[in-house]
Amino acid sequence: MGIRENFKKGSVEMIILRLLSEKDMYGYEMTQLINERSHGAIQVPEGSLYPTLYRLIDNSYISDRRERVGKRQTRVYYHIEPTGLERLDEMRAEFAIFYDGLTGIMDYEEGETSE
Amino acid sequence: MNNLSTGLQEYYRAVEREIPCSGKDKKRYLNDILESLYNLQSEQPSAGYDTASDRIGDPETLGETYKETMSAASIRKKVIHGNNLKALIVAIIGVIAICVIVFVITFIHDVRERDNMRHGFIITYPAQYLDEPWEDVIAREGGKVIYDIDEE
Repeated sequence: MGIRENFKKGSVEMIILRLLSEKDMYGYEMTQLINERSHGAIQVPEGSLYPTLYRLIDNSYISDRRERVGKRQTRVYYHIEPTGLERLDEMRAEFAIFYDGLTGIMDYEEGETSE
Repeated sequence: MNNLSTGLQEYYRAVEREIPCSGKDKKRYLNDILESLYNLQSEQPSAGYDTASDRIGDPETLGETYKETMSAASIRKKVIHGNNLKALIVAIIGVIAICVIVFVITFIHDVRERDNMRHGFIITYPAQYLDEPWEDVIAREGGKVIYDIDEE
């Protein structure tokens, strides 16, 4: 598994919650937005989203509903629940702490004093 | 699934092969994959295996992602299910134990009661004559001997 894949693995849940905090979306719409906003750096195919979406549904962070689009098509729309918004806030805060810590390690230069 | 093009059917079977285990989770996942394929076909009627792989994901990678993401959740579910089963067994044993205790108490009580009434009768006669000896009341008013232990 590639290095980026490893980073991505831990972030998909947060990415989904972040997107759904804007509006209800269906799977393919999310994959398109992830690709677009990350400038192609993060690509999550539709099929890879489902297991994470199931986990979020099972934990009541999000809910789903089916909508008929056109004559034959149906779309499953995902909706973030209040607990999901709380979870997103927690994840963002943890991510910020982790990111700062990681940057501190990676950008460390000899002679630099740690506070 | 028969309404899908051959390429998309092939893709679906490839995903099906890559998904481990069985049961509800797999069914739910494959249903969503199938729905994605129908949507893809209605948007791009000429879509085949490769287009599906690009949009929905390479079957092998999907299998890996599924295993990684679902394994922790499934284990957690199994533990919860196991705990529920244990609780159910304990509850059943508890109910049986209570029934046995009630039966034993009732049986002992019944034996004592019979013991108390040995060489006697269970009789019924009007309550207003309770102060008089029962033999006199039965002789005068009539009554009913409903149980004679000595005759058993």
